[in-house]
Amino acid sequence: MELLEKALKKKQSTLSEYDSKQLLQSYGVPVTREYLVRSAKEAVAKAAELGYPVVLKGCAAALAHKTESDVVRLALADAKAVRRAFKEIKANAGMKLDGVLVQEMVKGQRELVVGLIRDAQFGPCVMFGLGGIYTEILRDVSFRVAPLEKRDALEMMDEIKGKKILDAFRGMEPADKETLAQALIALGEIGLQHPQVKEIDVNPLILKKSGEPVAVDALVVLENAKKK
Amino acid sequence: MEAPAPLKHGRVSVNQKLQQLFHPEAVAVIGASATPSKWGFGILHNLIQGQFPGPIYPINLKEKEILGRKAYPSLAETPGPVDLAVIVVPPEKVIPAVLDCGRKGVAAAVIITAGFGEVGAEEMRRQEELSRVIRQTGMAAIGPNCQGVMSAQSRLFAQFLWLFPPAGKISIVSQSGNVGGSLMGRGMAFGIGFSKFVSSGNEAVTKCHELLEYFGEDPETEVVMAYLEGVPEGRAFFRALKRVTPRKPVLILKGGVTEAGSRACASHTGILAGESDLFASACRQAGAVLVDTLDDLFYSAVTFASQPLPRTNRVGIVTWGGGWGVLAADACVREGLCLPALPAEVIAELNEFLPSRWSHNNPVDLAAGGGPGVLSRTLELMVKSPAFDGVVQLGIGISSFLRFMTQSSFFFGHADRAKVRETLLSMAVESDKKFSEKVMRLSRETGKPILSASDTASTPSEDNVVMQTFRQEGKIIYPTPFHAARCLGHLARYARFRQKIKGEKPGQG
Repeated sequence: MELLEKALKKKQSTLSEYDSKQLLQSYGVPVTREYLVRSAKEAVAKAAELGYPVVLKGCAAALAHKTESDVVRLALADAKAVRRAFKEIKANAGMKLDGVLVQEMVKGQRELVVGLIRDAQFGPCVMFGLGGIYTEILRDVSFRVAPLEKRDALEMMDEIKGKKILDAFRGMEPADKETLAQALIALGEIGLQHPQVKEIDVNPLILKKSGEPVAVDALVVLENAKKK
Repeated sequence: MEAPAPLKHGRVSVNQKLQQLFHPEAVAVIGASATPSKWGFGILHNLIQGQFPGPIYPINLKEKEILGRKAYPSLAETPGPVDLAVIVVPPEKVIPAVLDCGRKGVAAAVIITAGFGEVGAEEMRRQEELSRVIRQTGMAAIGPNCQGVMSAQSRLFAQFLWLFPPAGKISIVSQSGNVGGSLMGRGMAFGIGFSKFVSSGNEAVTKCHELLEYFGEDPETEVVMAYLEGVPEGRAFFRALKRVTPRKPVLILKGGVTEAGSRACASHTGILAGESDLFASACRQAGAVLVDTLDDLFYSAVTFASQPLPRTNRVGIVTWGGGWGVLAADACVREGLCLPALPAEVIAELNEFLPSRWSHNNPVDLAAGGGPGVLSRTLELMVKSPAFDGVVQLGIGISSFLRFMTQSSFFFGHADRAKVRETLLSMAVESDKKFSEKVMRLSRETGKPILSASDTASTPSEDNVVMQTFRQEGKIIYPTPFHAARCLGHLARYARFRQKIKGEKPGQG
């Protein structure tokens, strides 16, 4: 995988959000439609192409915690808001950015997390659970050893306490478990095929009203990561 | 260091080597001792006491004879071939003993001696050297630092513990010798047989997952149980489990709290993985049955060895008294079992012969109504109803109960009262025997598991006719409704796993 090799050569400890999603997408994981832009003018053009509202995010490999660095602007409704957001992100970043991500604003109230770790005993293991802020608060997750069979992926979804989030609820369609299962299997495959990938967080993975899952944010940690 | 002998077994598969470990024709005890306090005495004693049918060669420099067997000053001087060597010499003499085995062409060794990797870094280096030497000889080797090996069908009791359980279909691999001993001790008390036991010790060469795989292939083994404290080769262990569980249940008790992930993590996934029980997740994923306690391990192994797998998790409960039924129902629900309502036709039939105060529901509570004949008819109706795929039956063994009740002084000192007691007891024994046989027959005819629990009849004793009858089919009386519900839960979960890997829906196949 070219983008992995490039990142390792540059001694990066992580992939940027954009590169992380490129990797995921190449394994069939559905991700947000997005463009990496370098100017406010380009941002406005891409925002129009995606359709408002949009999200702007500062994008760089070293930027693992975007919210804390104040480089995320949500629900931008028009060109004026996009231009202002672009300027603020550049100012707040405090580092050289790869560019700014212009991203579709995914609507959905149900946030999930999927991830990959490399366990000393069992090797690559895949995680599924409640996403967003609930990942840290409720810690409602399940694990499986890669490679996953579809049966394993379905059992992981059934194992979390909050599994009802995957059912039809208040006018929202049930989760597309088929696509979710394929995403979990894909994460395991990434772990098995790329020993340089140490960990992956996809958080949040948002369920749209239609039940379709989309990876909204993603972080790939590489094996040459510095120990913290 | 002397050069090791040329490879005699190097190209033979691990399973073939283990085959000779468990079915040797001749055994040598290197370090056999005439002193009863020594391990070298205990091992030899148990080999002889266990009636191993082939030659047993004590190896000892000084003695001419030990326990009536001719002793030899070295392995090389033994008159015939040796398949298995049990090594019980001081740590510094283990490697020379292994080299002797290599020259003699021994297929497998059990290294009892402690003082290797379990002690410290220097001893770990000695263990690594030992592994290297063993690999060069091509032998299978159990240990070091272990309690021994048992193979009941071959009458091989190459172990230190003086335990001789009957031959059966349960095999044990245990990273602790005394946990294995405890399981075999219970087996002896309850008349439950075992096929093989391996105290795997430090697993310098032969690992627990290789033993699991052997048990998976072994025609004498139908149920595998494992007590584990650590599996350094996690992925090999996982793959081995996945190969065995579709054919045979593997029950795992994990000792020691999982090490928290102390490594630095840059992701939330990494942090959460450190907090999670990945070992348990991996075992479940691979289809193993995870148990919580030694009790759970023993009862569930006996259950898997003696009961058919249920088609679904739908359970009927039949009880003499209310409270036990309620507790059993709660326990079944906690185990993920389902208690369907009684079908109308079962209610109608039960109304025909039960006193009107019966529960009219599942659990079927007889409310102490009717005699053994009534209990027997009720159980038959429940077991044969298509609404249920397994039955928990509470209250069996009126004779054990009566024997307990009639300890009262009222029955003693008067010939006529003593006679009443005898009459009561003999009637109860007769009816218990009949009912126990009926339970066995119903399970055989329907292919459904029936798990019986009782306070009094669950304790083995010479006059316990219920347990004696159950024992003939390798079955057991559960001491409480919780034990019965727990074991039925394990059966149902494992049955579901087997259906899932075949792509079947619940109740199919």
